Amino acid sequence: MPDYIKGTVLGTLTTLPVMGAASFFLLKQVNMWLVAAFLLVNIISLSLTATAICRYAVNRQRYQV
Amino acid sequence: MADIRHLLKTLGSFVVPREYSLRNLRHKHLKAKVVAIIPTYRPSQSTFQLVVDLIAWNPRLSVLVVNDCSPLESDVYLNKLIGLTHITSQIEIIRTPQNVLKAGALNYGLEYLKTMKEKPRVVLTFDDDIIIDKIAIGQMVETLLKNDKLGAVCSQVRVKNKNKNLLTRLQALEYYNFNIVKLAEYGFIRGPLVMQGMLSGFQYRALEEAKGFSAECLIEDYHITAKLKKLGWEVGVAPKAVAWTYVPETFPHLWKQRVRWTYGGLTVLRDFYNYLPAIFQDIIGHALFLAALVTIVLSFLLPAEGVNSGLVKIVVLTALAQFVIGFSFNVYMLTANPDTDRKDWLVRLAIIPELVYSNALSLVMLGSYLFFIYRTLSAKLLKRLPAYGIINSTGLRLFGAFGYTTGWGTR
Repeated sequence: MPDYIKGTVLGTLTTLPVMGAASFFLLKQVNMWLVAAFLLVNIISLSLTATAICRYAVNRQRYQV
Repeated sequence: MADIRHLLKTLGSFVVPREYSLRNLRHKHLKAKVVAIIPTYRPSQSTFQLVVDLIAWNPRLSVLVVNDCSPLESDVYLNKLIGLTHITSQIEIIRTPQNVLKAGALNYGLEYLKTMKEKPRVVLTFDDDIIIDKIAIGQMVETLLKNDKLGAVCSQVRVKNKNKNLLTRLQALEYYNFNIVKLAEYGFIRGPLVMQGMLSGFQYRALEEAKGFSAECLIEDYHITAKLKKLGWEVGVAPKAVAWTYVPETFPHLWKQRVRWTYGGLTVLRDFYNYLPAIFQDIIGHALFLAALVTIVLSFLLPAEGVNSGLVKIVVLTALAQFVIGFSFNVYMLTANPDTDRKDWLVRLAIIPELVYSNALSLVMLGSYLFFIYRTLSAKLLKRLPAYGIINSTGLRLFGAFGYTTGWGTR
């Protein structure tokens, strides 16, 4: 689950994107620029999560943890 | 050309972290002078046991206990520690002239080391109530000395009182995530964000260059880590060094701790905003968190024209992908955690406890943002309008009611 507190990359915004997406889905009218901005945030967050998992897997293998 | 290569290397480290070229120490690390500094206020049985374990498992280690003016009633364990100094020359106890909190006590210890004939190669800093693994110190010293670029390394962290209640269990799961994050950041940019204060090891010359710990900062461990990175050092992890700590067992205690962490973290961002590599991960985290929050809030407030269902569907898909990937990974990592038990599985698979926990701590973060903005603006206003002082005091009292104060410090 996300650790917002130290602003760490892995797991950041695991639930916030879902809550945001849910709110957009339920709202009948939404400002599309905001939706686009939120999508950009989601894509960045998703990329950072995926790359962090990658780094972890590499280091775990490297240092035999 | 060199700049482009450096940029490509940095971008590459997002996926594959840098691997440090390791020196063959040929057991030289076993002869290196290592000093453990343990600042203590009201030493307890845990402090005594920590010192005993350190000298039992590390015969060449010197232990410097810095008594930060503990009151007389804590003399029981202090006397036990003094008793140890008569048995072994490995231990020294010094007392600060006044109570200076943890960072001040660490600096007092560092000043004392300057008076020694032989300066240490490595300095280890501790919380006085942790429990260490038998090989932890050796692993940390070896990791540190194998690579000249590393100014500091930290240990893995586990929670000793995990089974106390649901709150401690949630923190234990969270701390395990911290270990995962630290390993993911080893070799990324300048290394993990924080060399945690409970157990970290430093090259002595790195600490000298940094001129010790910041006594003004609320979280001196984050501050020293950022300072070392700014001076050109990198920091790392000793993945096989393990230490256990006790976490808050009640919500008010946890709240107080997290208020200090979050507000203290923001002050570190303020102090190092002009050197982004030192705080990169934190900046990204805060930026994404605030960006997401602001767009959600604004979507309820700003006028809208209609729904582009295609775009919203993509948003929902990416959000779900984020959740599924993050959650699946966290579930998988339970299998790799040696401390995992049935209750951990229950809590994680139930989702709701961690969801409530993380959102509660997000409230702490939001409060810290507000407190930080308030303090920054108030400082400017006080200079121009002395009369603002009364309003400022009222504001500080209001924040104080929620635990936001600058009168902390780590003991």
